[in-house]
Amino acid sequence: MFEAKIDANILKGCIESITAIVDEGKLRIAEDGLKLRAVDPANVAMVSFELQSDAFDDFRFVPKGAEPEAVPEAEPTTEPQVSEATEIGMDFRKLLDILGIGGREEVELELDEHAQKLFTRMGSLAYTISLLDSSSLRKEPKVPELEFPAQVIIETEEFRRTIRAAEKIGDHIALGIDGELFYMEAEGEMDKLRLGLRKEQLIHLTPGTLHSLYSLDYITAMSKGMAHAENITLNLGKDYPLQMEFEVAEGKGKVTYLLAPRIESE
Amino acid sequence: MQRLCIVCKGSRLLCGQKTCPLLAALKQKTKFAELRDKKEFFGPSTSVFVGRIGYPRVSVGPMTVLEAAESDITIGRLEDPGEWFAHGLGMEEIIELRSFTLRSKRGEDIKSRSNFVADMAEIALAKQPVDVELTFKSKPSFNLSFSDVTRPTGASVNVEKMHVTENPKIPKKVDRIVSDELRAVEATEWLYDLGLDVYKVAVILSSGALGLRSAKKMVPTRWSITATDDVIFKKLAAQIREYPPVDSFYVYESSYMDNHFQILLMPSLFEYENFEAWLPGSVWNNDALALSQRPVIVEEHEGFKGRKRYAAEEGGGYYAVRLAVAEALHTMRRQAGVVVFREIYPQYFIPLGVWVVREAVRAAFRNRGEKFNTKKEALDFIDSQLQAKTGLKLRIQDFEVQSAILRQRRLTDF
Repeated sequence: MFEAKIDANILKGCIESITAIVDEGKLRIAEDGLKLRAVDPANVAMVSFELQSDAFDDFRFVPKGAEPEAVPEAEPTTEPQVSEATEIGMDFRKLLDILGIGGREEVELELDEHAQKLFTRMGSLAYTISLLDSSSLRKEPKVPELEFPAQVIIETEEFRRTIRAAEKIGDHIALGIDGELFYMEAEGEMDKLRLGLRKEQLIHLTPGTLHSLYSLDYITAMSKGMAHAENITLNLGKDYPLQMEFEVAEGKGKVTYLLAPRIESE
Repeated sequence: MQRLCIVCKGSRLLCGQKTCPLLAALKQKTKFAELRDKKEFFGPSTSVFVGRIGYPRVSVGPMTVLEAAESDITIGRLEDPGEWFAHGLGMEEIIELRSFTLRSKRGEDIKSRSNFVADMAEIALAKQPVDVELTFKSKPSFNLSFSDVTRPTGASVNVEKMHVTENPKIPKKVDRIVSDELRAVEATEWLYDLGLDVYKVAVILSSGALGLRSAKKMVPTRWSITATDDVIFKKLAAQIREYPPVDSFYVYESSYMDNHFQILLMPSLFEYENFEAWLPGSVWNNDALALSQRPVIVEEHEGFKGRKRYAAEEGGGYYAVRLAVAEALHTMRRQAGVVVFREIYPQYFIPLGVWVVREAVRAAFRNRGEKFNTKKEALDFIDSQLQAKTGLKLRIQDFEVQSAILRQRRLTDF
């Protein structure tokens, strides 16, 4: 059993951070909140998402089998399977569309696991979403074991603005650290763009020398997913995946993106 | 083409061909001269042509065969690139074949419901050529024309009137689809499902026969070809995205009229990248006066979810190749990451239309692919098969540096 109420705008921000990477996925509902981990079809980008139950105005979850009425008395031989979480196949694009229609109100969610439906209600508008068959969805990916030698914390707006400018120039962008300087660099056939920020212009920086190249298609999508966060934490390496972490739902949720690098051309 | 041809005029063979491909076609000009003073024309119409200049008011009309006395084989073949490929017709023969065509033109709004337009739709839908009588408004002019997307056309003439002199034979199933209240996209898919090839489907789409009753309109021939490739691809792709990936790396190869294709399939979800390497002297890289000539490589790609922007760097060719790839994957019931390497040699110096690449890629998949265990082995093989042998040898690295797909590492690599 799952029933919850949440500010529609907060939920929308959360879902946008997911749809930056995938359209659909397996959402785990447990007593402490919602969780998801998914990779894009090309295995290039991953999103890990967590939303605590206290981000909701109201959050009630009872695991399947633990509900008293769910124990069928007629079949005493079957042990009721109590699992701690419920997994549902969610079409996040669709949910986002619906939240877009509803506006800024509070949204009520109610799961009918038996019928495989999620009821959403915003004011007088009710919308029933059919869940996706979990078995048709891709397996939850393994998180690669990574060690990042450097970390940068930067204002999200600064980062996003640079990405927007880079899009006009080329199809990839380099992120790197040179001593106490963090830089982002895009180079096209004709033009070149460089953002350089010294340690004191950043919230945090681990000094070092490293550099990686990433596809702008992916970073652009990700930068849209982080629109509501004030700061982002970048974990970097040399020719290494990029990890980006930020908060959603006023600190009651966390999103982590992982992006595989491009091979440098020499 | 032009600069070289203007200098040469068929006499000096500056292009390096054994005979001038244009001259063969120009022979038609003599036959055509007989038409010159006529006001009327009677003969079979094999297709329709819708221009794009002046859109939405464009020049439209039936395509007829200049020399009605010419054999039925010629007439039957005129609109069937699959057949041209199967018979291995070369550039010269195709230009000659197409120089039999007379394109008639009448100004019409794309939404016009005139009898002229209605007749055109019937011709487009008919299974066989339809006899028509045309009344000319001007003198016909012989002006072979070539395009990167559409097939070459011979002469053209402004027409006053058209009279269809026989009952066009429209297959019942086709008629049913067209009479149904279907959107043009759906009708296009249905026609393809019936087994019509994209060439015929595109002609029907261009004729204005498709679409909801209130929204029927003609589509310029050039656009209809790419639109058909795109619509059919999307339909196939929806199924392909559900298929299991190929089990290994495969390379398929084919060559046609100095276009050489190597197609790499990789075990992953569907994504597609198309390279065109235009060697100096080929259609779009033929500045004969520039001495420091380099091959020009252009690239376009799309991910699993498909693309939103038009593939402007490559235009219709991108979509024609993509359709042929999708047809093959659909037949295999597999998906794959696909990278296409196309080399275009100097001997391909007159554009004949995107059917060239569509048929060449279809043919590649009729051959047995080479199987490899690793991406590196597959790329080494492709490198060894690149045919640009002159001083300007192309290497696989020339493509790799531009590749969105080959250069992107995966999270599973870490």
